[in-house]
Amino acid sequence: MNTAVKDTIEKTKWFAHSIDKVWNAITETDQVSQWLVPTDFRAEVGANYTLKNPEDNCDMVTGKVLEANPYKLVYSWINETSKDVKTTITWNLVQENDGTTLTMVHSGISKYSNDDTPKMIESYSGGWQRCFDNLGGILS
Amino acid sequence: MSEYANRIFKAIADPTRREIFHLLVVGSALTISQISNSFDISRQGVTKHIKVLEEAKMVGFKPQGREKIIYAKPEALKEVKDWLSFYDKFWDDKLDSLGKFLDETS
Repeated sequence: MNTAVKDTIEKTKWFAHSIDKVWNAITETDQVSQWLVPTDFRAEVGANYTLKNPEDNCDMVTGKVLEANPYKLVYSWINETSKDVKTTITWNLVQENDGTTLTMVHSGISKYSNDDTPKMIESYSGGWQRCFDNLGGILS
Repeated sequence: MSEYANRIFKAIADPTRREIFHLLVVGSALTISQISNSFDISRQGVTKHIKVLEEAKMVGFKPQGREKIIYAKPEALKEVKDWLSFYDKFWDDKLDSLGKFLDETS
């Protein structure tokens, strides 16, 4: 189904590390903060989290943990620039070939309005707009 | 991802370029020398950044006397309308970071 494909990004990557090490890297607050974005993420079902832009400390993404059982992690992903759109991130780990195969699926992306894209891109790139203060004026 | 979207992402990936663009957006059009003075980087360095911004159609040039002045074209950002391609690149980058993180913490 084309619509389903377009709505989803799926990434698969193999790491030469144990499944528990990879699991810790995607679930533990201090580790996620190092490779993803600074966050208060806790891998507990029902826990809310916020991703902060490291450059300006503005909120970029918020969400809630929906599932967290080794080795599957699911959470909602809501962009600050499009708060009415809820997307979902699903992580799956499988032990394979003396390492770990990670699959990440980001679904629900087609629900985003393209009108919000410039704001979203700025929120990720940070730097020249502090928490969208002047954005409306500049883009209009 | 489209070639053009790639150029925009490349242009905004660098903090100095974002600051230069920001200065041009909130301030006025400036010459290379004025930008160079504002950022304490060489004219050559500024020229390189401006070239990347120009390739992303985020700045334009107007002649002013012997020099040319550079002005911001923030509407260029409107051209990147594709969330899917943004997130495609976002997750590629983040999974690369995850790989490096895992390798470094062995």
